[in-house]
Amino acid sequence: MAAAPPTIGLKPYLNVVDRATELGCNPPNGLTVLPRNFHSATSREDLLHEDTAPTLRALWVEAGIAETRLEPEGTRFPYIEENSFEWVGPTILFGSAVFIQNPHVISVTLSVLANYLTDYFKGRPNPKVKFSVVVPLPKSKKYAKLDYEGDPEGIKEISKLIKDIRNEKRKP
Amino acid sequence: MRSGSHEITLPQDLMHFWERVFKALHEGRSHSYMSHAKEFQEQASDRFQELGLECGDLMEKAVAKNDENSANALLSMKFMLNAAFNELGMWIALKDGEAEGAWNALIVAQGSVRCALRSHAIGKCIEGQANHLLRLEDVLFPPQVFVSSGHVVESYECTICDKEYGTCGHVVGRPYMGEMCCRRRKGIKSVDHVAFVEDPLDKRCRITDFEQDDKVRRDKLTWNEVKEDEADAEQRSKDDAEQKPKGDNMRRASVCLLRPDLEPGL
Repeated sequence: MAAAPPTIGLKPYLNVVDRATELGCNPPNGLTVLPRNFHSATSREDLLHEDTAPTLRALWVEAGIAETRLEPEGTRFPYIEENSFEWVGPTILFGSAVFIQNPHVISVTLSVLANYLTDYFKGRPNPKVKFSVVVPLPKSKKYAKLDYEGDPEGIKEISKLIKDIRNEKRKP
Repeated sequence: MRSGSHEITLPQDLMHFWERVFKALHEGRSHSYMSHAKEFQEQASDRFQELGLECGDLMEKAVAKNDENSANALLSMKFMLNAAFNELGMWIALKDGEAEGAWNALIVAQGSVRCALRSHAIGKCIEGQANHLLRLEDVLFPPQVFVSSGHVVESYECTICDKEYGTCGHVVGRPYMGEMCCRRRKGIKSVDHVAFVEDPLDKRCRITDFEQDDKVRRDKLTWNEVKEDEADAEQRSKDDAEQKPKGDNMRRASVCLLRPDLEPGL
């Protein structure tokens, strides 16, 4: 049976900087990993990263991609671990600084992830990947969230969608 | 030797060893049938174990020479031998009436094939085994109900360098000088949930037996009746007193805490 084609949902998202400040976290404006419950946690102590977050960070360290961490210095958010073969990734924020200083980091980040996941799923049919990307909307304090669900092959479509959002060809 | 589109480059003595491993795997696979006599399967299994030990010795030498290519190739061979050993182990266990042992051996074989693929390009030669072992799962065993638990974990440590995982640049599931990078949990804070899942990380975590409407508990692999123990009898009285609805009550499950012998690097 052929795998279902990937889907990318697009919807509005909260103001990430305001929310981070509200939770007592570093206001993120570069490449950042957002915790699973970033939108709903009542305090910083409740924040939980996906257990795949450190792997993403390890890939970035290996590729020389710099991250601006949400966690204040000396703080670590615990991880929620699911033991399913579906790869549930964290929400990746491409903050405004990425688009101003280093937009090519978007395609590099996604490509590094896609390559890793292709390897991860070797020997396993019907790979399932789920993760989200958050980007700022142009000329606005608003943000959009892209929810990806599919195989590693489809991840490259996200770059194009981000470009369309930034060029105002697509809106959440 | 070709493996897919890549020319495998290894020192000559290692190529000779690889030829011996490849031959043993090929011969062993020729006995991977229910109808083949157990003695041939056991002989092949012994051969795999011997080669596995030799692999370990060669790997020590490769690491001492700082030859990562050879060390990772040997890691892949080790996983291939483990996969083949467990595949034959499955048939032997089935013949011995040990259905659970057979299931577990199959799952370990599947995980070992995936590790062999990730360890080195040489692993590509057993790519077809992955699908073959999945087909065996469907053909030899009834469908299973898998259980997975979600945990909240304080942090992870890298097993290559012992630093906090995510900060060191080592990536889980990749080989480094003959060792697969894994992550070590530091502090399970809580069990967040237990769920039924379609595709767990460890297929050994499953419902092992269940009770039907007639109150007979049956093993999910063999369909044999499973006798109730004292704890279950007590729970049943409690459920009856609370007038819980009857039906397919799955009273037992093995809870998933990922076991390191399955698939390092997950």
